[in-house]
Amino acid sequence: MAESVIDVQGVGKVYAPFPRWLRLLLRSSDKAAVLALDDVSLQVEAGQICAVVGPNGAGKSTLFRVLTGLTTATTGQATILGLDVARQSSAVRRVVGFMPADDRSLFLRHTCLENLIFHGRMQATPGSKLVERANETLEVVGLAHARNRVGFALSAGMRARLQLARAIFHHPSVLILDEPTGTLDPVSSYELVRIIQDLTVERNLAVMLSSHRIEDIEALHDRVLLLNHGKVVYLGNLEKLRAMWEQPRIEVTFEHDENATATALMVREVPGIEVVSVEPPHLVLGTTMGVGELLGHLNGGQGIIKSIQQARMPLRELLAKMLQRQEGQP
Amino acid sequence: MTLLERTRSRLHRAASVGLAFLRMGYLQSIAYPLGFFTEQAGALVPAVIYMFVGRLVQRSGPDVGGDYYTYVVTGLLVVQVMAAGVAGFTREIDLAVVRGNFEMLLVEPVPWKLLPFGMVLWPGVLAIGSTLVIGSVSTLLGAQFRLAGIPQALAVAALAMGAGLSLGILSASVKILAKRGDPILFIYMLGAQIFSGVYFPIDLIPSVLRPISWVIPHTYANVAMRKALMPQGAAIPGLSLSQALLALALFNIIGLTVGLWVYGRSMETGRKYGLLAGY
Repeated sequence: MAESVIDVQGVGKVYAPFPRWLRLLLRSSDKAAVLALDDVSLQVEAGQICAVVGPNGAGKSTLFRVLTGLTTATTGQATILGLDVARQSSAVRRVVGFMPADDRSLFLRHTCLENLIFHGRMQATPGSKLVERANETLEVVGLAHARNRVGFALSAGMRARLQLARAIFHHPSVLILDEPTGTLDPVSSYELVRIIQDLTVERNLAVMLSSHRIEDIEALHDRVLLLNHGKVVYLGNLEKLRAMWEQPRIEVTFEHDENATATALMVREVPGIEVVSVEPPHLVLGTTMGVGELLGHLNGGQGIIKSIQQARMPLRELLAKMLQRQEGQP
Repeated sequence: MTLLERTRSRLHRAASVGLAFLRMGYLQSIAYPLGFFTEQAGALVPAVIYMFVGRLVQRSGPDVGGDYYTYVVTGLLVVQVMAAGVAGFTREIDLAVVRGNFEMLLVEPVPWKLLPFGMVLWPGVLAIGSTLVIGSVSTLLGAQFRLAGIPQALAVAALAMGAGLSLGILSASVKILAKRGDPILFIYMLGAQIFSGVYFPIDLIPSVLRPISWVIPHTYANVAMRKALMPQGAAIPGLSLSQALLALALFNIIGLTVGLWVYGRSMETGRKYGLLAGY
């Protein structure tokens, strides 16, 4: 079994209310402790991407802050390449490439090249190699043509790629990407995800990435960590997740729109059939019935069925279902 | 890795970080030419004002080294140099927070204790530049300096900047947690303007308040700079140049040790309460 590059064991984080002396300096509305992470454990191996998903406030950013040393865990331990993220934070930051969610973290008044050179110097890259390495990195992310353009002149997609360039400049073993596609259009987002996938393979990286974009998570097609209220709801690969939670669905397409609506009304009362959605002329039904038995029920309806096929449950819905179940909703 | 290799590696890292901040500071300054120019020009205003005040006061006793205008200008040079240390780090943190890249700086693989020294390098260079400009302009306006005292003045400037930086680190330690407001800096700068003898000899301060002057490094920097640069500086009563330099050196050792310790505690508190990433 491959050794874990990122190893998180029972990490919990409670943001305690500020002590009295600190409240003199900074007011906080939190009177009670806030549980941000609760007994989170996971391992990420080299060459693996772990997508961290969950609603706002699920604990994704706190987990990344723990890993980058910006905050300390209250319980548990996290290591990167065997280095303790709490006690060896400076050494950890040498082997981690971090991409924050906010593109203002770049020096937007300066060129792509200057941004990377600054970062390179902070990494103590030898002066003779700085420009060469910066140019190489810009090439990798497809920004070679924009090396002398300032940050403000770049599109959101290009800025995201520049942030990624900064994260990979020093050839880290680990990439931590906080909502890298957050502000991007679907095409830019697709391109960025593809670059991340290629880099993961080529450089054998262990990658943790948070995203609210379901299509990114599906495209990454690797491991998923689903967090809610700081707790792990699911950790594993997408296919297993589908196998565990996906309900069989059948999409029926009618010749005429009104037939879909009428059939939906009719089968609503049939035990074992759930009307998932009606978007005439399409009707999606959730059922474990065989196609023959289902057709028997549908024949009572009017109109000609143009096609009938098995439909996949959208990942968005699958995740929402899991979160609802965790919160005790039906 | 041997001790020598470790030391060499650390020095290389420190030099590289210093160079990074110097270059970025320079680029930031030239990116806003008007702001840069007005800020530098603003530093000249007191030198011009005190030329007129000097004419009005016409004080030439030994307590002001024989020439009130040169006396005040020398004090202004010290303020300029020390301000880079006292306010430079806090100001750079503010700028990084406003720009949005403070969090990213903290994620760079640089020991956090190295950041204050890196971040004040460019403000320090600017302070030295504007000190030279103020010195030159005030010479044209009638101030008189002892050129032979320049090497000693440089030593005073280096020690003054270090003492200022120790206060700046303390101030930034509060700023990191408080986010806005700067009580240490506010109180200190107010105190320094009144009690350190920039504009008038501290002997004029009521004796009951005078002890405040002796706990402010600005006071020693003023004394040392005047002894070094003013033609009649040696005649100014009080501490000698070497005594003032010694006091400044002590401020450096104690101040930087205490400042870095408090800064370390502040960063740890920030990590614990999740204050390093939110403003």
